[in-house]
Formats: sequence, structure tokens, C-alpha cells
Amino acid sequence: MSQPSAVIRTRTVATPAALKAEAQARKARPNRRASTPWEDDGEMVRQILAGSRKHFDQLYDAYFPRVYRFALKRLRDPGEAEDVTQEVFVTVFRALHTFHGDSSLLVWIFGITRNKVNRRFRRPRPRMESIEGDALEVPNEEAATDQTVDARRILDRCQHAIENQLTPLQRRIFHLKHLRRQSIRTIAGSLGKSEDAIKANLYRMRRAIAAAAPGLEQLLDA
Amino acid sequence: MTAVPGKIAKDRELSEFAEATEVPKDAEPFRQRLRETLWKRLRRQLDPPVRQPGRDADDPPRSD
Repeated sequence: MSQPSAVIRTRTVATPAALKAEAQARKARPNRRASTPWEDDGEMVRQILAGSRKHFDQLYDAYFPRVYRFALKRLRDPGEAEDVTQEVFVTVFRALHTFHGDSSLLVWIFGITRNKVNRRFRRPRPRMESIEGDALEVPNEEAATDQTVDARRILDRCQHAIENQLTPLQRRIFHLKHLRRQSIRTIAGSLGKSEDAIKANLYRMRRAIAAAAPGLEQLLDA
Repeated sequence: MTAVPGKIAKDRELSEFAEATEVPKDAEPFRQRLRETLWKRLRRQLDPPVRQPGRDADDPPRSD
């Protein structure tokens, strides 16, 4: 039997087994994973707290690119990225005496950075106006940063599809179902249509929007 | 779009965070400014100003 000639695409998402192996490898070399010039995070912290400029510079040089690039990629604004970077390092050095090595400096500083970036996303943002003039709230819960960015992109595509691909009746149904959260029976009653007609329209419009905005189904069901 | 569970998404973010090593050229002046600001703050934090005995921090400066 011949081997299949088709190229099999591998997923880029790490499998649980791969992540477990990575975690075990990390355990075996706890201070090497951060690609830092020092071997011992605890000693590095002690030296900085003792006033060593050399160690302060080493930590700053190792983590500035990580913090800044992480923030810039998500916030897409150099000014915002600078603000976050400053906040992160102020927090890091202010709280350095509380670092006891329970996790690595990499994980600790990553956690601070992620929180600061996510906090920016949780600030009040401009409201997206729906086609009916009501506000469509952008998800504001503590989602992971990437998920928040993805959700915003999906909503943008969704808005575009609603405006350009749906009939006026479908737009009205979409509004009542997904913004007003009304039941199909209520929508049918208020529009003078049968429930089956509403369901059929919902099905058609969801297919049209799903094609234009991949990922919307999961967002609406979440 | 492939749904990514929170833990895996966080691990991916951590890997991405760990791998960043280069600073964009535009950010270089900010990097140097922030370095000095942080160092001064840290020095103040590690060596707080010594208060003169018998005086409160809120006391007005002496005229002599």
C-alpha cells in the first residue's frame, strides 16, 4: 500500500502532551528557560536589593524587550506600550522584595505584564453602535488578551456583514435576538411572522455572518 | 478559528514573551530614559532619606 502523497498540515497549537514535556524540561533547567545571563533568580534579586547597578541593568536589559514587545503587539500603540512598560517595571522593582522564588522571574514578570495589558483592555472603550442605534457592548470580562483582540476583530467583521449582507427584516431579527435577547416566540409575535419563519431567517443569517466572521458562533454561545 | 483553552493560550503567550529579545529602534530613547528613572527610584527606595532626630517629616524647614 502506497503512502498518501498529500501534505498533512500540523496544528500550531501545542498538545497537552507537548506542553507537559515542555514543563518537565523546564523543571530540569529552571533558570535557563528565560535565556538570561544569570543562573539564579534569587541571587539576582538579592544583588539588586543590595544596590548593585550591574545586576539592575542585567535584569532591565533582559526584560525590557519582552515587556515592551508584548505590550506593543497587543495594544498596537507605542505610547500605550511605553506606559505599560513603565508601569510594569515600577511594579517589579517596588515589589522585588516580595519575590521569594516560588516561580521564576520570567513567570512573575510575565504575570505582571499580562495583568497591566489586560487592565488597559478593561478600561472604558468607545461603544459600538448597532444598526438599530442601541449600544453593542464589547466583551469586557477578564478574557485573555488574545481572546479579547480576537473578539473585537470578529465583532468588527460581524458588524460589516450585518450592514452589507442582511435584509432589513434579518437585521431586525438579529437585533431582537442577539441584542434584546428576546425569545423566538416574542420576536415572531412582534414582527407578525411565524416562529418557523423567524427560525429560518435566523439560520440563514447566522450562516451568512458565520462565513463572513469566523468564530462568531463561539462568541455568541459564550 | 480554533478555540484555544485559557491555559494553552497563556502558555503560548508566555513562550512568546520569553522569546522576545530585540528592542525596536524607535523605543531605544525611551528604554534609556526609563532605565535611569527606574534606577533613581530604586535607589530612593533602598536608601530612604535620613530624617533628622527630633523632627517630623511634616515640620517646616528651619529658618536658621
